[in-house]
Amino acid sequence: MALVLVCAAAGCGTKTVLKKEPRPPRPPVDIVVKNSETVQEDTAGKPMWRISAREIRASEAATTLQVKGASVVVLGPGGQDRMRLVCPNLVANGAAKRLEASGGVSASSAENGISFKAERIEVDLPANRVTASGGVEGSNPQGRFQAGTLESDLKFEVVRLGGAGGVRATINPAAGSQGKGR
Amino acid sequence: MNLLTSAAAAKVNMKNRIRTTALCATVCLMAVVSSAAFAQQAQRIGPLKVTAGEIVFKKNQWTLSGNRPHLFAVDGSFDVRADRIVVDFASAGKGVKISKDSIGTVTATGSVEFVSKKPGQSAQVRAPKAVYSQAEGTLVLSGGVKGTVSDPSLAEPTPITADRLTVWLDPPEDGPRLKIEGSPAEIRVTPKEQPEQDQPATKG
Repeated sequence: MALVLVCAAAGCGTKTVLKKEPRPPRPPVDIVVKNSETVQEDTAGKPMWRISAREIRASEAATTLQVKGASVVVLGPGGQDRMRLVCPNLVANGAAKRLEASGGVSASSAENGISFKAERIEVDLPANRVTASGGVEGSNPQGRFQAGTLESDLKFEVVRLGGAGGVRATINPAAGSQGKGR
Repeated sequence: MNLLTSAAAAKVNMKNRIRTTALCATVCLMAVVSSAAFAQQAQRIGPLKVTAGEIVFKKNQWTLSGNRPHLFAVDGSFDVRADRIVVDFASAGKGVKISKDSIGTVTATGSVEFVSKKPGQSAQVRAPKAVYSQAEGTLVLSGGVKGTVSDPSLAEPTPITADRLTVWLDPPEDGPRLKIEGSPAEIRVTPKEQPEQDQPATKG
């Protein structure tokens, strides 16, 4: 401080513009949480899903989660268990209210008794849609099925199986051999 | 006693051709040939395998479409191909109680091909529509039925032409097994020739 005052008093009047050193970019905030359970809520504070994971990596805004070794419970509007996913890789986008599970995913809905596996499953809450692709195999109370793709609403009330290779299914022998009920 | 047995008893060794033509009438044949070819599906209609371009599950109903859906018994006893096949579970008709996951009806529409493949007794029938009802225990083919039925007791496959063909899959002992309706309805039965029976030996 004394030096500055001396310089000023000495008439060192030339104005110098201090060059700002470019600030090095700040490394993105990267939060990694291991062996945790996370509940993501929508903007209204309603829980959308509950994720149990081996590792969760959160982005800066914490709206998108990169998850390894995930077990997910997708919650309904009343907080009820709507469907479950188990997958090695998951991207949970809280802002878009979307889940993208990959790497061999198992899905089930206790409400409708449907369960299936696929290479990839996407859950889109705003669109009320579940889509699965890649070697879809599963069962419902009436039988078992194999298909290339699966599309459904979140309640699995209407499930559409398709794909380039067509669909194969077996109607449950137990269902078929029930009594006549006459 | 069925029609064939009657013919055999009468020692009809030549080919018999029975042609039944009914204008706006119903021909009901009791215990007619090859009902067993259909009746094999009586006790159980499962397990079944299906293939299709697309299957939609909706409220206890499977709808098969695309790629000419194919529904067949795992034991190979029969198969059905059609443009569209709808399997209804827990919907066997008014007042009929069945398990919610039991098959109630199977409806096939669009160039339906029904093939029964029981060894020695087979049937090949085509119709625009076929409906299996578990509650009624029937398979009803309608809209112009054409086909053939083969049976060990027949010399050759029996052609059938009708507007509507009803098959009781699990008929009561004294009930109808097959009903052919049409204008005309036609069935040709050619019993197999019976070997001459030896005369009983006489004493002395």
